[in-house]
Order: sequence, then C-alpha cells, then structure tokens
Amino acid sequence: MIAAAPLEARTAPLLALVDLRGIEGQRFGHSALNWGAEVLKIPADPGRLWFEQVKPRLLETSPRVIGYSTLGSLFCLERLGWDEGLRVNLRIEHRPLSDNKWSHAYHGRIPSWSRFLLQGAVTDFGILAARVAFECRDGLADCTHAAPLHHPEQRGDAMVTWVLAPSYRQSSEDGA
Amino acid sequence: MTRPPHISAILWKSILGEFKAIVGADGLFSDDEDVSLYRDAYSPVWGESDERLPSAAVAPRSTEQVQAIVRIAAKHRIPLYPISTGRNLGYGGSAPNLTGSVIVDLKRMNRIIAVDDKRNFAIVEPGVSYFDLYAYIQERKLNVWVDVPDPGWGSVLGNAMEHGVGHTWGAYRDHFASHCGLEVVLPNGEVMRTGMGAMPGAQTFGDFRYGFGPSVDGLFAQAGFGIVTQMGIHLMPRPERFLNKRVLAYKREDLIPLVEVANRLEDSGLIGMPLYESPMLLAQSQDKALREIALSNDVWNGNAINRYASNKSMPVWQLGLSFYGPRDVVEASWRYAQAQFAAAIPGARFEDVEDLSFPLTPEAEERALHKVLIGVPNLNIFALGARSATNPEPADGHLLFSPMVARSGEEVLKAQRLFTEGLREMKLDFPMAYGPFTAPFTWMPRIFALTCGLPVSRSNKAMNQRSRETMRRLIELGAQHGYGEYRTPPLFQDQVMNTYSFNNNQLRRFCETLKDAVDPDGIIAPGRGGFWPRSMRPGV
Repeated sequence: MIAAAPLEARTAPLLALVDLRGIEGQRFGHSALNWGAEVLKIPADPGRLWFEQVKPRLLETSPRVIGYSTLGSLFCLERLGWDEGLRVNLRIEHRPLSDNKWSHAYHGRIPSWSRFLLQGAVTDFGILAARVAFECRDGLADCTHAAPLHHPEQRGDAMVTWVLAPSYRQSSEDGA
Repeated sequence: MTRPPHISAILWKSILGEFKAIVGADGLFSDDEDVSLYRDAYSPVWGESDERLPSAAVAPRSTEQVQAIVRIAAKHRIPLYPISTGRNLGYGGSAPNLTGSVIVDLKRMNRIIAVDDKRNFAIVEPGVSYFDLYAYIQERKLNVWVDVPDPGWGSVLGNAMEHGVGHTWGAYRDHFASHCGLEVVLPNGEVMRTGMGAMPGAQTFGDFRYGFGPSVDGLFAQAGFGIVTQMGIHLMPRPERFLNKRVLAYKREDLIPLVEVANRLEDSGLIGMPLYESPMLLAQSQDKALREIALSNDVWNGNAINRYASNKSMPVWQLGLSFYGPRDVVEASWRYAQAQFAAAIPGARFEDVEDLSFPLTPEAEERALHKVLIGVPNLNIFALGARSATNPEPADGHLLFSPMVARSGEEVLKAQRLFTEGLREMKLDFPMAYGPFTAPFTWMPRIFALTCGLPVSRSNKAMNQRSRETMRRLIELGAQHGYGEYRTPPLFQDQVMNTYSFNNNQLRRFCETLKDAVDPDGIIAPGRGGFWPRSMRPGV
C-alpha cells in the first residue's frame, strides 16, 4: 500500500475525476482521496459533470485535475478543458490483456521512475496510477488529442490516467 | 510551422504582431502545440499530406475585434476560417478547407444577449454552447426549450450555420430553419445585419427573419461569405408533458405504411421527431443465423427476415413517437396515432416508453431515457464508442456519410439495398453501416438522412484510406441515384458540391460568381461549401 501524500504536497487543491465502475478505478479513487483530492465520479455524461461540477471549481480555486477514465470520457474532458485553457499534460493508457492483466503505454515525456513503477503492475495498478498522476508535475509534454495506442493483444476497452492542467509551457513561463 | 499561402516567415511574424495587437497575447495562438489543437480530431487524413492545417488561431471577444482581424487579413490576403466552438465532429471539426488559414475562434464571444419566453426566441453570440443556453434558461426558470443536437456541446449559432439538426418538434430541430436574423462581418470588414436587424431601432430581430428584400441569410451557412457574430433563434415553448410511445412492426414491408402514417402525423403537428430503429441491427451481432440472413443475396425480398421475426417474435422495425403539449392533448394525440397505425399495419404492437411532466426535478432529468428528445444537452453519445459486440474494434472517430433520401418506406428500402450492395462490391462489411436493418434518421422534418459512420483513426492510415475511398464511392453512388449529401467534411466538399450539377453546375458557378464579387481574394473560408474564388479555382 502506498502511503498518503506528505502534507506539503497537498498545498494546491486537487480534483480527481474517476470512472469508478471497475476495481482499478475504485483503487484510483480511494488513493486520490488519500492524497487529499476531492473525488468526483465520472458519470455516463461527462458534459454534465464538467459544466455542473468541474467548471465552477476551476473558476473558484483553479485545482489541478487528475483522472482515470475511458478514452471516450477523456476525449470529451480534454476538449472541454481546452476551452478553459487546460491541456492534457500526462496520459498513460492502461490496456486490458488476457488473464486480467494490463499493459501500460505512455504518451509524451514522463519521469522514468513512474514507468518503472507501473511496468511491473500488471494486475493491481489503480493506486500506482493515482500516485503517478499526483506526483508527476515537471518535465511533462502536451499530449492533448494524442492518438490512442493500440496493442495487438488488447482485450476490451483501454482506460487512461491523465492530468489536465495549464500547459506545461505556460506553467513554466508563469514559474519563471 | 504552417504559414498562410505566399506569406514569408518575416512577414508572417509581423502579421502575427498585428493580430496580437487586436486580441492580446492570450487571444493569439501561433505555437505548433496550440495550433495543433485545431486539427480535426476525426480527420480521415490525419498526419498525411492532404490534411488541412491551420497556421494560427485568433480568439476575438467582440464584433469590433472580428472586424479588425478581417481587415488585417484582407490587407495581407490571408485566408481566415471562422469556427464557433469548433466541434462539428464527423464533418470536419475545427480544421479549415485551405491549409495555412488562420482560425478565427469565436468561443470567447459567448454572450447570451436575450432569451424571451413570451415571444419564444433567443439571441446569442457564436461561443454560446447548448449547455450554456440550457443552463441560462434553467437558472432563470424560463418557459422555453432549446432543441439540442447529439452531442450537445457545440455552438447554437455554429450548429445552425452548419445546417445542424436536433430531436424535438417540427421546424425547431432544423436549426437553420429556426434561426431568425444574423449579424455578419463581411469580407471587407463591414458589419451587416439581416432581417429586422437591418432596421435601426427595430425590436423584432428575434421575431421576424425576413425584413425586406432578398433573404441572404443562407449565404452564410456552409459558406464563406462572412463571419456570423450574432444570431436570433426561435425557441419552443416548454410543454406541459412529454409522452414517448413505441410502435412495433413485424414485417420488413411494414416500413412503408409506418412511414406514411408517421409522415401524416408529423406534418399535421401531432408528433415530434419520429425515431426509426430496427432491433435486428443489434441482434445480428448476437445471432449468427440473423447475420447470415442479413448477408444473403436475396435478403431484399424480406422473406427470411419476416420468418425470423415471426419465429423470434422480434419486430423488424420500431418507431418511437414523441408527443409534446398539454396533458389532455398528448393523450388524445396518442390515441389517434395508435388507431392510425393499428389500421395501417396489421399485427402492430404498442409500448409505453416514457411519460414526463415539466418542469422536471434534477433527479428526474437525470433519469430521463433519451435526453435530447426533451431538449437536455448531454455527451452520453461518446459512451457508445466503447468496445462491444457490435463494435469490436472501436475507431478513434468517424466520418459521416449523410445522403438525403425521400421520406417514404419504399425509398428507404431502395437506398438501403443500393448502399449495402455498393459497400459489398468494395468488399467492405461494416455491420453498423449499411444493411437490411439500416433505419433512416429523421433529424430534419421533411427528409430522411440515411447516415452511416465510417471509421477513422489517428494511428491507422490504412483504415483512413479505406474510409476515404468508401466515402468517395458512396458520394458518387448516391449522386447517381439522386441521393445528395447535406453536410460533409472539407476533404469532400468539392466532390459533393459537384454532384449538385444541374445545368452544368449552375449552383456552384453562381456561388463562385458571388464569391468573386464579395470576397475575390478568398479572405473568408475559401473552399467552404465546395466553391472557391477565381484566384484559387482549380484550372483558372
């Protein structure tokens, strides 16, 4: 079990949008809660979630938004986020294989430690995925609208862990 | 980095500075990373040389800023491509017809100028989405509905200008037909208002669309004669009640009386959008025997389908009926409709689907079965792209082929066979595309759209090539039989426009004449609608 985030890591408000239908989503959501996030369930209609719950929070507190969802939900959320000046800065696809195993594929740049972390997680990965989403902040690349990655042995729909935040470029400019 | 045609790197940098002076640093997007967001996510030429790429994007906040942008573009002969919120998925997204165009992203012009629930209209800017207008109406408890497309995240104005469609009652779901008055920035940078907007002091912009003289509004839909910055639209009064019923018909040929009765009911104002479906469309993916029937060469006589329907007690067709209005009226309308269908279709059965009284609580709205039928915008449709028995290899998106077919059962059966056999000749078999269970869409009140989606991928060029070739063949095949498309992505707009070829393509040539007169340098969306100014016309 991963320990809860240190207090200093919780300074920025954190919002987690999570597809809770599967066990890995539930693990992700539980872990995000431990990391100090407000967790919102992604319903069948991500538009309603966005306009009624996410957008008001963005306007009030500019939280960092992390998520675990289907590719279809992310497609909606990333376009809605674009309207608010946000980009997908982290994108890890989780593809179900046979025997309840999963493989993970990465878009853009992510730290090598996070690759190693997930590489071995062929079954239980929800907690680790939440940790990667929470801790990966620097050196990321814009992967909004990245093409889904296909795997020849894929069984069922891929899930995806992501971070929606001001573009890494804009963040670094602001920081500078 | 892509640049506008014939513009040097040095001049381009200077022009970007001019744009920046108008819209500010936060309203100009010229880095590849930002500009690439305007690519069409459903592009059938993703990453290929034919992909139409923008050079930059500007996001004005007012009509005056749009005017200034147009004047800069006119000075430097830079093509602009206006988008409202830039959804239009399946029909081109936010990508332009001409590579190097500057996107004029109007999403920051998002004022709802008026909603009147006594005279039942709204006036909106291009950045107002259906979600925005719906929320505005709900928050103020206004007694009007918005007719929404599916998905409902697009622009009210942009959807109308694309000839977009919805799902409720009569003319409301033909969004251009229910528009009422435009404000437009012309290619020379001047502002024009149409309808009653042309009369200073008139208070009837959202009431009366014609004003006086020729109605020119159509020139700004699916065309590049100006940038629309404001639009009136008629709204439907919120009904007391919504009844949704279903008619089940058990023979293939029942489609003919089913359509006839539904047409009569709809054109008499008794029902909203008829929703045609065949339960066999999904069932064929679960029953190999039915799939074999669907693929057999003699399926078109209907015998095997009718036998299967009889053996399984499965309807060949089902028709959803929407009734809107006062409580007593919708019940009486349903009784009348039921009697009409029962008389026309022996063996027809009927089902209750939904019965809602308005206003709904948020919980009741959440539970509503088919939200677009009651004017509630949503994005549920994106869940349909998930992997399933009928969709074993989900694509990243789709390309929509939407031929217009006369509103008769005979014509649907004829077009079904034509397009199915066309696909089979190409050795293509998309179970969810064309087949004997394809049902017509009735988004527009007086015509059927026999729409099918062809898969596209951002990582599979072979899939895209196959879909492009299929699309081109379907356009050609449809036109040979009088089935024209109502809307298509930029890649196919020239081809589709050329299928409307009466009298040596007089329609296209007339549009070209107008374009040459109003926008000879192709400042506004050159190529949009399948016609170009003289300076850009192939062969001129």
